[in-house]
Amino acid sequence: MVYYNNRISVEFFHILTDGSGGMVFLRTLIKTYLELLGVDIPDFEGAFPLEQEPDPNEWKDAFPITGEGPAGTFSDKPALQLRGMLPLEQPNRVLHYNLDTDALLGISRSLGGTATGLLLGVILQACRDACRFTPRTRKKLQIQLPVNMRKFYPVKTLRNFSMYTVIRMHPAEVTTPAEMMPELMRQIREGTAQEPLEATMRTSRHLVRWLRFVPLSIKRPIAYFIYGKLGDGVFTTTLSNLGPISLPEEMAPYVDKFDFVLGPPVENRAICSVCSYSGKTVLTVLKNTHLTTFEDALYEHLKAVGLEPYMEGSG
Amino acid sequence: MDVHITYPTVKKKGFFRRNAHDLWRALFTVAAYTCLIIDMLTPGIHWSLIVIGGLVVLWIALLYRPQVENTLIKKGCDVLVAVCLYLLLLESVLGGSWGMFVAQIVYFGMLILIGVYFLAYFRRQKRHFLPLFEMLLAGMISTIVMLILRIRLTWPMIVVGSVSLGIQLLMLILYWKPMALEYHKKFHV
Repeated sequence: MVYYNNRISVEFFHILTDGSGGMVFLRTLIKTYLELLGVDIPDFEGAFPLEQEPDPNEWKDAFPITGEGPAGTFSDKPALQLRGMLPLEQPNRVLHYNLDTDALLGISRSLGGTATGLLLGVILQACRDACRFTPRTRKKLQIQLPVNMRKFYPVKTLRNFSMYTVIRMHPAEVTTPAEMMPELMRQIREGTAQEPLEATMRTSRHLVRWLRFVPLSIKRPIAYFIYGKLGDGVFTTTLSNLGPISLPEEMAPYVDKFDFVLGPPVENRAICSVCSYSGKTVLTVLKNTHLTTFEDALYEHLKAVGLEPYMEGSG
Repeated sequence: MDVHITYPTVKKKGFFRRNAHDLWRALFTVAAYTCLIIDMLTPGIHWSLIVIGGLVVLWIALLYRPQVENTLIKKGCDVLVAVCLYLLLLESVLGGSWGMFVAQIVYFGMLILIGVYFLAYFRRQKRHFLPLFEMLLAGMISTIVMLILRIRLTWPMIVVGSVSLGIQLLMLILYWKPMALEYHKKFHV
């Protein structure tokens, strides 16, 4: 946990929690901080009162909730990677594209999709511009799209309870967000359905069960290699959408905005995350290469659909 | 695209400081390959293996920094394994039958050092006991295996088994509750 000027940054280990669990911690932290400064804030959903005894369900592993059934697979075909050398110092740069939420939602709806669909379309365009391909290239652009499993199960756990789906498209098929929207929405709808996600969850549970007796010293290097070559290598990039963040009106005057940065990848040159608060949507890009093609293209394509990004970031 | 910098500026270190780890690695690799090539071109014993083994031990002892569990106990255990293997390598290159004997002495000597450090600073070090536990377990198992297979036990081997068992028992007698909790944390399934 660090701070810089008026910004609080909290880093979470994904094994312990996911974005939703992390948000509960951050909201509780901000609430407590403001209370210590003398602001009167009532208890609200999404933050814990400090005097309250923790409920054991808050740290329960929710993955076994799916029960037995068909299992899915983690393996996938290698994805097309963006161009750019991987520097020794990673991550290389953090960029925040500040967008107007109403404008984003308005444009998305006019194209017959959602904000996630529109951002996926723009990111696919930027990926196409930032990778090397020919019409004969077999590899596709594959974007990892994490899904919060709490929308299917009303669990109280703050532990990691997320899965993911993959949005695939050949770079030659990437046109404009308007043209791609029906296909993107179809892939999002099918990929984020309960059944395929449950199947992947079962595989994950089986994997953990099989690996629990293997010593950490053996698991660690193998896991790192597999993550780099299979986990990261099967995605071009990631778009993790935390969704809208809400705070009670007593806290609102003290909080300007939220942003959300993913942990650095191994092979991917850039990964994206997005969250919105109080009319402001922040699309964050974590860069792993000095080459600026991706972020430049993303900026231009966001402008082309009618959004005016205000750029912030690291030097 | 005009980016407003909202993060603290990172102080740029000099080239050598920034890339010290990679430069050392390059130096070690060049030294190892040079020795190997010269050794292959000249007759006599394969002395390059001694040099390469020494470089590996130096690397593990001085330059290697694990990303997880970068603790003094882990470092001590890594160095212990590296030195013992190096002694066996020396024996195989130079000849004789002293390698295993000396490795056993080094093993129990290092175990005593790490064990004393662990017990003396228990409150701070209790979370880092896993590498030490692996070494103790290896010491006990190898002694038991030698007893079962009726291989002639040397006195250092008996000491290795006794020291491993002794440290393990001391850990449990002195700190039963916290150690039980640590075991549960590391081995619960």
